[in-house]
Amino acid sequence: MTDPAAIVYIVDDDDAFRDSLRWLIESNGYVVETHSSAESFLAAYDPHQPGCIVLDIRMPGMSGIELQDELERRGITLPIIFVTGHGDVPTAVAAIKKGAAEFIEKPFNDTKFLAVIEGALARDVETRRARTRQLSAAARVATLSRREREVLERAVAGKANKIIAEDLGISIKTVEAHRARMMMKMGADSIAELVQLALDGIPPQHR
Amino acid sequence: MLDINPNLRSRYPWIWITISLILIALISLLDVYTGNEIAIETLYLIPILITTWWCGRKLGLWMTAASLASWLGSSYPTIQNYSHPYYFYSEALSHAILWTLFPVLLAKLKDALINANEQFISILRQTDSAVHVFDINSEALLYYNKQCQNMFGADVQLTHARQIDEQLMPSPLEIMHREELSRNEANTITIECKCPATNHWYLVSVRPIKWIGGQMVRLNTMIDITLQKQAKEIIQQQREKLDFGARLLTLGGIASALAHEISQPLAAIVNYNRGGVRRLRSGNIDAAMLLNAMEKSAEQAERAGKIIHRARAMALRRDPEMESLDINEIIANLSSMIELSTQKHNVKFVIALAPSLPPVRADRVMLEQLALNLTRNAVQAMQDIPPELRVLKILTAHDPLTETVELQVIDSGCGMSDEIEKNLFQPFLTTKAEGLGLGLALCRSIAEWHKGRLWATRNPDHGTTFHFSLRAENP
Repeated sequence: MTDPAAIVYIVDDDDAFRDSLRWLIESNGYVVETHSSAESFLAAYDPHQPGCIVLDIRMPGMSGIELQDELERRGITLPIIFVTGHGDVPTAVAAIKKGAAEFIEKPFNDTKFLAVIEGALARDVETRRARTRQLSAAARVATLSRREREVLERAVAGKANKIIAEDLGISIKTVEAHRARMMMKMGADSIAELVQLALDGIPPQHR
Repeated sequence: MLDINPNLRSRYPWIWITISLILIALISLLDVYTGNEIAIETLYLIPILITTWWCGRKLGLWMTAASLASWLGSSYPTIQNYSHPYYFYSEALSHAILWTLFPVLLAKLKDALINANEQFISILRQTDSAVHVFDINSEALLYYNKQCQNMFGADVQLTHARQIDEQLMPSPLEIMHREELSRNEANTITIECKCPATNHWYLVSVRPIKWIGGQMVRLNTMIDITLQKQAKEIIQQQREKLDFGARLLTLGGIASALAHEISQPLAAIVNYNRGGVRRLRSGNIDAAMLLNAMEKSAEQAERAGKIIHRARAMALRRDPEMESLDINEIIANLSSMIELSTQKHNVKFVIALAPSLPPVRADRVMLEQLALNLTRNAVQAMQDIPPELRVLKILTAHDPLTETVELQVIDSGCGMSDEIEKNLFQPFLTTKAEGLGLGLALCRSIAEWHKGRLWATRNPDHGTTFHFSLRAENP
């Protein structure tokens, strides 16, 4: 992967707490970037940058939950680790139900906390990888001609060349030619690989 | 005072009598003129009824007599020779009976009406509310009762609705004048308002009704609710004062706020330390950086210390005010508040105050807080027993030997176990799900602060008694 190194973003309005978190997280070798408000994070964040957010639920201005909503609205899937004080549990539960990665109550156990960050970063890498695959497969599908696409759909459905030829009302020879060109364009060596590419190339909701 | 004439009699009876007499004369003339051929006698009822209605039965009967005389005078000369000799007399008799019966019946009817009106008026007179009656169209003041005078003073001459409205009402009445009220009798409007002139509060209700004589009027009734308002305000103030005291004294609020505030620097301290430990373990450590982290960690510890200091300062912000207090009076003042909670929890509430107590020197808010905490505990201790067995008793006593005053709060609950008894006054130990465990610890602090004593004993039958004793003030 040529992705830039993952960054752990800390968004918390308490200066001392933010600084101490940076100290703790950096002790594990992570790159850390801190923001004192959700607004400043949103202004600075580049969606291509992998990582995760350690987010305070209660902040003046935009709250942690509101930032979560805003990221979702912008299609940013950065994993969020909510840091909560005593008594924020109901809010945190609501956040989790909305799809937050984790929440952790302070003061917290450092080993567990760093493990949570590790997990969140790994999940982000996985999400990004899947998205990249998805995008490249989709890009390849886009280069296919209409016929090649029709052949792709039928090949993925497990149909033999003969059946495809009958389906499309063309000769087996033509099907073979389309098929070869399609396999080349898709960069697939086997039907199994082609199926995987086709799955990635079509957005989940259309499957 | 404007008043009403409930009997509906005319103030000028002679006008009606004159009209009636003229009518009688006209009728008899008509009778003669038509040659007695047309039976015109029924018309005599008109003057008779007019007089009866406006001038009463007696004059009505006189009018009957006048009508009879007139009829006789106009009919006698023309008695027909060929009719039966008694015909004339029987006709005269039947007229006499009819014309007597009518005024008598009408007078009875009128009496009933007058009676109803009089009752209505006597109700208006005797009611505790001030009543004004305004004509709905002209807004003229038709009636006001004695209470109005008492309320606003006899010298206040009020003849027009607006004067009273303006004196009494701020804006709301503007909205619901004639148009709003319309003629719908069900349309009653009730508001509370303050009269700037008298500085009193009134509950004013306004409704349209049909008045004596049938015209639509606006009936304003006003009740002086200044005392109730004041009492409410006093209760409210007292509650606020207690809430304030509770906020300062129960530490509950402080504990919660403190927990939140202090978790921040504590978490930071933990982070600095753990981060340092990790770096030291891995050997990847720069002395200058570690030094910096340790400095910051120490700063956070100081920050936590400051928060605690601030909280303590806040708790002590209110200087206790020592004064001579009668514990009986404190309990009496609190009783309505205690009753609220006993009623809510179906607890029978008994107060047995000593006939007289020597004063004690204490802070009122603290003592109120102590008493309330103890009663709240007692009520809660009886939650698990059947309602008919729940009794809360508060008693006060004076021991002349030790020169102490004692307050006892006695519940009929299930009593305390040895375990509970041992830890009764320990802070943060509680048997209640939502409790902080500070109530009794606080009560004991208050007792000690006053150099008094607080202890608990088991009742011989069931339940627990909390005793609070305080030295009587030296005279």
